[in-house]
Amino acid sequence: MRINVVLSLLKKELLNIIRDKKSFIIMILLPLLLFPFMVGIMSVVMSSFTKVDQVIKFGVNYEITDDFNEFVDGYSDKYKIEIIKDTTENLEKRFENEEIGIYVINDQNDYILHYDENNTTTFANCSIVEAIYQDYREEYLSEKLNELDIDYEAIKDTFNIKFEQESVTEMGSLIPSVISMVLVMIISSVCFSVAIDVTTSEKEKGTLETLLSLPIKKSELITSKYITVFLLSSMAGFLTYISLFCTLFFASNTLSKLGVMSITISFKILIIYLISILLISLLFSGLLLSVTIFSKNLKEAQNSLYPLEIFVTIVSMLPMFGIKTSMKLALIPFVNISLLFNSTLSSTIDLSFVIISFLSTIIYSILLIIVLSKLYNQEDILFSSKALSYIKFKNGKSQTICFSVMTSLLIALIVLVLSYYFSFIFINSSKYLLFAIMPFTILIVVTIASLLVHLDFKSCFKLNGFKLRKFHIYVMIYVSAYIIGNFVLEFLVKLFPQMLENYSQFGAILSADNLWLSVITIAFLPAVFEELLFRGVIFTSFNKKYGAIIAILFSALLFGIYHMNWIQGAYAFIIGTALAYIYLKSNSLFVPIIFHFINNLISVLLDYFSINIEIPKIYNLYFIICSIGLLILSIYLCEKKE
Amino acid sequence: MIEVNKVYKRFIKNTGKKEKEFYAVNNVSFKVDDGQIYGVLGQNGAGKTTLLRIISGIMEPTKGIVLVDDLNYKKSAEIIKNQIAFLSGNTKLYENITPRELLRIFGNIYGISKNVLEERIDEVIKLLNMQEFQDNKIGNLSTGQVQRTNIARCFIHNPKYYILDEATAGLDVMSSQIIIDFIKNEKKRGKTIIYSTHYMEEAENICDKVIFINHGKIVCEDTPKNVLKITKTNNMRDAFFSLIGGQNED
Repeated sequence: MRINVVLSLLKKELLNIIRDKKSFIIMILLPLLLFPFMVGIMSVVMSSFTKVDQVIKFGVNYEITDDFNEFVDGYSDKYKIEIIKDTTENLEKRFENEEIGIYVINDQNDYILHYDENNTTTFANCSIVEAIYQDYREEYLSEKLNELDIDYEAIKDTFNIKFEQESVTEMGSLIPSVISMVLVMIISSVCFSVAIDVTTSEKEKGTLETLLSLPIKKSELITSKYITVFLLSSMAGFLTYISLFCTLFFASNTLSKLGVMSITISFKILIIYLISILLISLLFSGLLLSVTIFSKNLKEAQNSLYPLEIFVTIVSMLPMFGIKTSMKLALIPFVNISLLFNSTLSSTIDLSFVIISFLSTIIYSILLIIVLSKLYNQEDILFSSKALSYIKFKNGKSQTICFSVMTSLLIALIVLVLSYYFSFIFINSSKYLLFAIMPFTILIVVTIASLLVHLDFKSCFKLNGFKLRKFHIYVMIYVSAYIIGNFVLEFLVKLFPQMLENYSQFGAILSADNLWLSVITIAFLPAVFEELLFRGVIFTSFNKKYGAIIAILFSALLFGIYHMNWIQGAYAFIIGTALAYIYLKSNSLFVPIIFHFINNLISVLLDYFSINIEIPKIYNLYFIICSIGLLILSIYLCEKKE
Repeated sequence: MIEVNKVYKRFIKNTGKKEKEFYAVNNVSFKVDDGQIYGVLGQNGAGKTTLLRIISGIMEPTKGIVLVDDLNYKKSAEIIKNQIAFLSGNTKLYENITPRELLRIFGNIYGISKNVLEERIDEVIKLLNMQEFQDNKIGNLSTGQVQRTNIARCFIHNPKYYILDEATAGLDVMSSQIIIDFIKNEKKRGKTIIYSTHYMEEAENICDKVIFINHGKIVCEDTPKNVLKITKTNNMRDAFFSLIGGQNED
């Protein structure tokens, strides 16, 4: 890759985009003006219902002290305040009849403010009432402390922190979420428009052909495009960032009226924030470029990007629902950065969360870049435009017989990431849904990949018939693998008893209450689609390049990793080697599918009828030696007949 | 010398539900000697564009090889492309860049050193009479001016070979004359030009040799005079019909 060529291309892209008026508005004016505009609008709206002469009426269910009355009188120059004393039940009735908008219930030391959150006037009034109570609390505290000869001013700061936080979680948590959402949306929309500009419009206008006739490598071309999208979107992010803090700085008065407490900005937060902007731009650029690259024209590009945009918007709204940061969330792209934005603004930062989020985002971006460069090397994707070819073509590359090793690894990785992602999203929903999602993930990823490389399904996945004559040997192989696998399982549990906890948790999820649903979702679907991935895709590609033994071991290894649990993984590894061997010998994907199904069915049935095999009694050494003997015999029979 | 050796290009045509395989370029071989103008003639969909794209390295052939000065695209694509300029009739340029900037960027990509490049740009701009609009955005230029800019960018690296794909299609008389003059001038300077068109008269006038393509195959390859002799016709148009006419149903 030649740097000066990439730079020249970059210059061309940047000049062409920045000089466009519409892009200029989206990339520079929108990020700069959005926050001041938002705050302006909000303050106008808020001031319309926080008028000075408005009567603030609220009910209380306790005797009001003279002190409190006096204190409230202090506000009379600002607001007219009317306090109604009544019983709790009457207050509730009045509240429902909308006689009063706010009432305060005293419960020992707590004063609970009730208000109608959907009514903006009472919402605003409530914040005033809350402020009065907060102020009163402070004065009350200082008086009490003075009685004890403690200078309140001196110790104020020591619990001031707690005091501030309470108000942030009550009132202010919405604002950082909105800010983080706006940020993510601005970065994504800039990426959106630039990605369309550099890929789809280039195709549509026919300039791509000129570019390809220049002495440029495709890698240089895609690098320059990636950098363009990345630079412009991160620039928009920075502009938003600058405008945000200018707004916070200059409009702090207005903001405090809106319930936003002063946001402290430390150097650390600044750095984390800047890196987050860079990373999210990096990820978005890769994602959007690899989507727009397929589109023939602008309309198609927009159609394919809108679902993505909606998805991102929803994800960036997650912090609003009060989701707390956790290590699992740090691995999920977009969600992690969106949470990070939020936490930097509300100044609660978990450093390990930051690091894991950053690392995972970088890894996802690298993955996307690999996918992107692969895509950009395919002529039918590059030339899928009407401006370039008047007949609707697909490149007639001969059908691929199997995936390359790199592609199959990529597929496995994508499936792993996606199933992890889905398992997290659906963790609280029905377990049947959770189990059904994984096979379908495999199906979708494998199908898309096969379509991209024009795979010959039948010969790659060996959807052939098989001979029943040899079937008894496969049964022998499977049975011995099953016994050895269970022995290893038992052995591991004895060796690492702490792992059993994890495993039994998993077992609890597995436990079946609906037999037919379990048979379909736990036994049948995984059997079919896991075989498709691990035997059909991975084993076949490795077998072609590195030979049978490495292919068997590696596909079984990935099969083990896929189970995301050490004990289950070890068992899956052993069964995986047997299944791969059976696949190799039978030359039909249906055979390992049958055994995989049987294997899953056994565990479903054992669980359903809660049969507990007394494992130690059965698995004595003699039994193991027998099964190893059986294994050797069956392998011998297999090899001999060849 | 450009040598096209048994080149095939297979596409899959989507006709409704069925996918039909066909060869846009089907076993095409010919040689282009230096200093010649070579015309590629054929109707729409005959495979001209695909063939020229393969020769200029924009597409890869399914089978066969293209040699340019004994180099092939697999090993030394960048070196070959430095000697080639490709211009197609529907090439548009970047709208928000000025001709001068465009030439500078393309010159950089072709690896011309800075001092030489500025001189070269001035020279090219003078030659093509582009002084008035050299600093206007390309989006605001007229069709003729855009075409001149396009020629200028083909010109900038002083290539040995020009590959023009229906460069005059859809242009008015004045604009297409610019291109024809350009082709004639370059020939005088000893450059080689491969040139596709469906204006038969144009080809008859300027080409040293023509090839007729139909369904991806070469039907006839000879000098214009010989073609007229073989087909016993008076002009290229009739020759074209006698060679190709009646065979096409599409």
